[in-house]
Formats: sequence, C-alpha cells, structure tokens
Amino acid sequence: MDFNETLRERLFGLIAPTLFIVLAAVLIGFVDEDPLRTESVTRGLFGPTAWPTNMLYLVIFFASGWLIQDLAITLWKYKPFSSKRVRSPASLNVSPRKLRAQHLGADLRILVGIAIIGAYGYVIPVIGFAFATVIFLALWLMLGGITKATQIITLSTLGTIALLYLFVKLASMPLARGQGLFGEWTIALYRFLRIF
Amino acid sequence: MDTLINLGGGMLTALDPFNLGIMLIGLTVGVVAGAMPGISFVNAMAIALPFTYMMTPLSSMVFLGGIYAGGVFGGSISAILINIPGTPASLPSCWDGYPMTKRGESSRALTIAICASATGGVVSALLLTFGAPPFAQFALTFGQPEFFAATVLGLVSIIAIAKTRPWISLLSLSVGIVIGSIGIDPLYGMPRLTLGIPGLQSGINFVVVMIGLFAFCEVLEMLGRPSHDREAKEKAKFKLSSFRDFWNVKYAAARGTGIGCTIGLIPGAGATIGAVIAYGIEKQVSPRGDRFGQGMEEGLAAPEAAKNATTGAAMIPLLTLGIPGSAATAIMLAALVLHGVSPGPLLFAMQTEMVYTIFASLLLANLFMIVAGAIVARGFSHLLKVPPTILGGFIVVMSVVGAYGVRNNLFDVYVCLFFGVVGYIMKRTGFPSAPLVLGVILGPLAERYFLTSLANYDNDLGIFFTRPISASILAFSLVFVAWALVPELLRQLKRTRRDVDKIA
Repeated sequence: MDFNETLRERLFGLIAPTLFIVLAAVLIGFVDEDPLRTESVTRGLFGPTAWPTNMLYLVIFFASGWLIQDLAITLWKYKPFSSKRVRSPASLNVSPRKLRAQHLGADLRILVGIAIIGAYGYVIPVIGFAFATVIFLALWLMLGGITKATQIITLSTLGTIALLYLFVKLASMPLARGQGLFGEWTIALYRFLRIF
Repeated sequence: MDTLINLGGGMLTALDPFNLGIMLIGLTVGVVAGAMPGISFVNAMAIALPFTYMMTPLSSMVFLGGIYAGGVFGGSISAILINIPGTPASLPSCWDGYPMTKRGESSRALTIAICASATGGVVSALLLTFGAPPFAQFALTFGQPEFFAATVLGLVSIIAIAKTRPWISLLSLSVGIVIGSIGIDPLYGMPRLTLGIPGLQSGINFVVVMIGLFAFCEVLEMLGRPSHDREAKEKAKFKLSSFRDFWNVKYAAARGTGIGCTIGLIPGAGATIGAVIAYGIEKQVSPRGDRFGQGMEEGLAAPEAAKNATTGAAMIPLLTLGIPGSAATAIMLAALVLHGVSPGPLLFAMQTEMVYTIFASLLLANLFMIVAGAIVARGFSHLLKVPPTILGGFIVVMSVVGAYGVRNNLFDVYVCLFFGVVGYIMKRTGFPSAPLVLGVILGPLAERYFLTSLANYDNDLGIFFTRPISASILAFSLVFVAWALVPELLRQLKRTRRDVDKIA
C-alpha cells in the first residue's frame, strides 16, 4: 500500500462519516413537512415523524462511531484488519505511472458511461424508447472499444428490435414512444415490425 | 401425510409445460450468470424481475427460484476452470477445485461440484417442504410485536455478514432504513423527507434501489475492467466424468449439506458463510485436511454442497415470516409484493398450491441443475468470448426498463441511476451495500409493525418485552449482535492497547 493510498483511506475515513453526520443533522430539520398536522394526528408518543427522525439519530450515532474509530487509527497509527488492502498480482508487475494512467483511463470511461446512461434516461420520454435505445447502444459499444461500424450498427439495431419484441410485444409494457414527430415515427416502426 | 399430498399437487403444477419451461430457462440463466465473472446471479435476478411482470405470481417465483438455484452453483464453473469465483460463495471452490484443474482433472472437479451442489440443493428443498409448514403454523400465533421483533432480528443479522466493519455496516443499514422511510408514512398518511420533490411522495421503491445498486453498479465496474486473458479461455474445457468420483466424497457432501441447511436458516448468513464454514469444518474433520488447498476432493464437495443447501433453507424465513435474509431472497420478496402477494404464515393457509409448487419447482430445479450445469460448463469457453461491453449495454437497457416498469414512472429510472452511481462509489470505497439494501426492504416493514403495535397497545413500549415470543426474539437478536461483535471488538481493543504501548 503506497503513501497516497494510505492517505486517501485515512482522509476517506475522516471525511465520509463527518459528511454523514452533517447530512443527517440537516435532514432531521426536513423530516416534518407539516408540523401543525403532525401535532394534530399524533396520539401519544410516536407520530409519523418519529421513526425517520430516530433513524437519522442512529445514522449520526453510527457515523460518530466510525469517525472515532478512524480518528483513533490516525492518531495511534492503529490499522484494523478491515482496512488492509492487498494489491493484485497483476498490478505488482506494472509501473506506478502506467498503473495511474490505467486507473485514470478507467475512471474517465466510467464517468462518460454515467453521462451516457443519464442522457439515455433523459431522452427516452422525448425521442421514445426505440430511438433512444439504438443511439444509446451505439454510443455504449463505441465507449467499450468496439470500433467496427458494421458491428456497432448491427448490434445496436438488432438488439433494439429484439428488446422491443420482448418488452412491447411480449410483456406489453407501455414504454415511452416520444413526443411529436418521434411519437409518430415510433408508431410507424412498431407497425413495420408488426408489434402493433 | 398432508405435506406429501400437497407436494404431489405442487409437483403436478410445477411439471406443467409452461412452468417447467420457465424454470428451465431460469435455471440456465442462473447458471450462465453465475458462471460469467462480473455478472452475479443476484444481478441476473434483478434484471429478470421486469420479465416477471407478465407472469403469474406462481410462474414468477418458479422462474426466479430457477435462477437462484442455478446461480448459486454457476459461480463454481468459473472458480474451478479459471480460478475466478463467479459468485462470492464459490470462493472456497477455487481453493481445491482449481488445483484439480491444474492437474488436468477439471472434468472430475466439475462432476463432483455439480453432484454435490445438486445433493445439497435437493436436501435443502426437502427441508423447506417439510420444515416450513410447521414453522408457518407456529408463526400464525404471531401478533404485530412478534413480527416487529422478527424484523429486528432480520435487520441485525446483517452484522454477521460484515462483522469486521461493524460501525460502517450499521451505518449503511440505518441509511437504508432512512431511505425506506421517505414518502408517505404507513399509519397517518403524512409525507416525510420528500424535500418538496413530488416524485418522492410515493417513496423510493426497493426494487429500483436494488437494480441500481446491483445491475448499474456492476456495469459501471465492467467499463473500467480489462477483459479476461486468453489463457483462461483455453483452460475452460469440460466433459462429465464417472459418478463414482462423487460417491467417494459422499460423507463430505453430507456434512456440507447439513451445515448449509443450518446456516441457510439464519437470516443474513447465506451461501458464502455456509460454504466457508463447511470448508473449515471439513478441513478439521477430513484425514487429508493438511493437504487441503492442493486439490482435495473433499475440500471441493463440502462447500459445494453447503452453498446450494442454503437456498431452500433461506426461503423458510422468507415464506413464513416475509423476511428475506439475502439479496436473492429480497428480489423474490419483491416479485411477490409486485404481484400483490404478502408472504407470511397466512400464505400457507390461503395459497397452499402456490407454496407447494414453489417447493416442488425448487426440488426439480436442483435435479435439472446437473444437466444445465454440465451444458453450461461445456460451452463456458464460448461464453467467455462475449465482450463485457456488449453485455453491459444490454444490461443497462434492461435495468432502465426494469426500473421504469415497477410503477411506469420515469422518476424511478433517475432514482435507479442515482443508486447505480452511489453503489459504484460504495464499491470503490469499500462501503458495504448489502446492509443498505436490507434496510430499504425491512425498514418500512419494521416501522409498520412498530407503529401498529403501539397503536394496538396504547403506545406501551413495554409490549415488545413482556410478550414471551417477542421478548425471546429480541433477546436472541441481542445475543446475535453480541456473538457477532464482541470477539471483533475485543480483538480491536487488544490491538489498540498493543499499539499504544509500543508508542509509549
């Protein structure tokens, strides 16, 4: 385990529980959305807000336990069994610079992947499931390193058609058809594929 | 006698061509998903959930049961052939299974694994068939306080899974409970923690959280992972060997089965713990224990039998109390709830046919697993050639549709994506996701039982401690926590003292 990794772990062990404590403390103020109504319906000790409020206190309690434990680790240089991390044999043969570059490349791919999935979810209601899925699959395959255009087009088109048969024809799921012109195109596509 | 008659009826329904077909498809999907490193069978179950919308509750349980039984075994194929456990429970299979492959005995190793898993699974399904009804009869005496206590037991059982990191596991669990409490409360109809977002009024569905945490998270990890090496693909060759290979280790398999059935009954323990404990005990018991790790057949048979023996046993708390002890049984609970079926003791009285068909199909699934396992093991080298990118793309689409299909609501897709990213961050930082999922599932149940108990007994908190069954279950929960935590806390304290002394 190199110095940077140890430092990152130590920082995570201090920052993460602190964030949980702050977030839980803030959220306690948002549990009760209508205090007047809550007071009127609450009979006795436990009202509608009691359970989540107490659970948020539990979050603060457990996060404090984690924070205290990690503070002890940092101050006394004490390392529990769970914080041990072993480098994989593959990574031992690679130079640290190359390993960092590999990690950076993987992280970038993941970030772009998240953005593509987010965009996919966003455009489904606008352009419809069918067209959004073709575009998504094509982009995803390119991101994954598939470069042949024929492979990308075939997989994304045939894959989407198979999924349409599965979900719309077989499972009768009311998937979004898109707005305006896209809606009309989706219906035309469904008719062409004999889904309707 | 009644049980046998009901099982016979269940067997007939399970052998109905549609149900049988669905079960075989589920079984194959489970074995393939389990065998493919990176796609665990739990992910496969989460992805398969939307397909159950078009099925009857019975067929959906038969389908998911097939994936469950097949998936628990499937992980051993990759563990034995390429030393990569397809599921965490298959880790002990690497220890003695892979050395056998290196000796050129991969066919013998897989034959032993398939037969031991099938034996464990069949015995466990029989335990479920004959053990669950009397337990359900007993559970009929439960009131709301007893159900609350049983739910608490289900919640604290998570500590057993991650006892080396108690604070973080408990934090994850309580965060899950908070997430589960978002939306309208179960007794007064008041919104909580919605932060003014209309989509949160109806709460966060646990199926959406599970799809995000398991499926999306796995796909994101796949993106950053290099593909498997060529050498691994070439090692993956198999054909079934003689049944005598298994017969020689029948006692090891029997011991593993016993351990698996016992461990499976404990909510939260699951296949991984069962397999590891069975391996450890077999190592102590076997006269060749000192050579374990070098390709000993007993070291493979015992954990293999144990992990599949947990499947039927784990369904006893699910079907009799509605408490899932693992992610896989949680998905099965989700399927039941989505179809408007409430698991619990009344299920045995109201839907006897369905319950016994589930038992029968689990029994059949474990028998058919021998064939499915052998076929998938033969085609394993071809399976490994499918690029993870292609698999990942389709998993995303199916997950999006699955999340959308829960309530036909796009907001759920965004929530699912959010949890996918959260799950990925959790995995990267080592923050456990299993307790969070259990909290999201069991939290609302616990709240409902807690509030209705208090409403029925004049807000008297003492009701949980004065009723004998409720008090016993809560005391057992306390013992369970102490049993799991005290040795670890003592170890940590000792280590801290030693370090402080060193510095001083």
